[in-house]
Amino acid sequence: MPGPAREVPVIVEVKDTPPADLLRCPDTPEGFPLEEVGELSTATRAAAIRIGKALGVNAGRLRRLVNWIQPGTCPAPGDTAPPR
Amino acid sequence: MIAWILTAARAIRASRQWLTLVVVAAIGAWLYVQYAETRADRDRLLAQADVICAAAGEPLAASIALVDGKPVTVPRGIRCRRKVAGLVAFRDDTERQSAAALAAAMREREGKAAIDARAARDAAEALTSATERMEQADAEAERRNRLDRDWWAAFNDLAGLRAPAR
Repeated sequence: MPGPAREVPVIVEVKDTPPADLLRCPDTPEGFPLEEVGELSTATRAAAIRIGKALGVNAGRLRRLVNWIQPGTCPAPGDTAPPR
Repeated sequence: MIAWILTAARAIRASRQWLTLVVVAAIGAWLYVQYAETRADRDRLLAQADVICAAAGEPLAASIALVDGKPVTVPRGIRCRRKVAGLVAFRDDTERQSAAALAAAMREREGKAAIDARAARDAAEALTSATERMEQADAEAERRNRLDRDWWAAFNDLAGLRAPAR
């Protein structure tokens, strides 16, 4: 005997994944050549250190963010960077 | 006393037909009241069932349905009962699956949080050591007024740059 159609629960997993280009690991360009011996004023050195530190901190944060969204995408720098 | 009882018995015998009629009428009236109450109850229940079934989205009344092209009478209440049973099952399924989905999401989040906590700690340690190294190299550069290999290496490390090829 026919009956009303049985309702099927709809559990939809919403994957709110950002665009792929936002999930790229931070760029790690090659650094300054070590033989570059030179002179820089104290203020310029301090500025360079500020900028470099911010670059590293931002990259680390982005890496954590990408790994949070897609675990294991960006390994820690120690795992990929050649030993210093 | 005895005379009085005899008088009453005589009176009953005389009007027996009347008394029988009165008793039968009383029983009839009582039955009628019972029936009227039962019918009112039934009507109320049917109306309530109608409202409940309408709320569930299926009619209470009997209906005709086509089974393999042949009309079949679906008795009163069957569709409604199936509908309600289906709704209950739906709710149970939904609650169960929702609980499972939520539990899975919470587990996933906990795993992510644990991994990230480790990554955050490692990053903080690496930053601290890189900063210390940079400060030492910078102090040395300040003292000698020259940027040597150590300074640049410390800088590349601090900025998260790859070590140069040469």
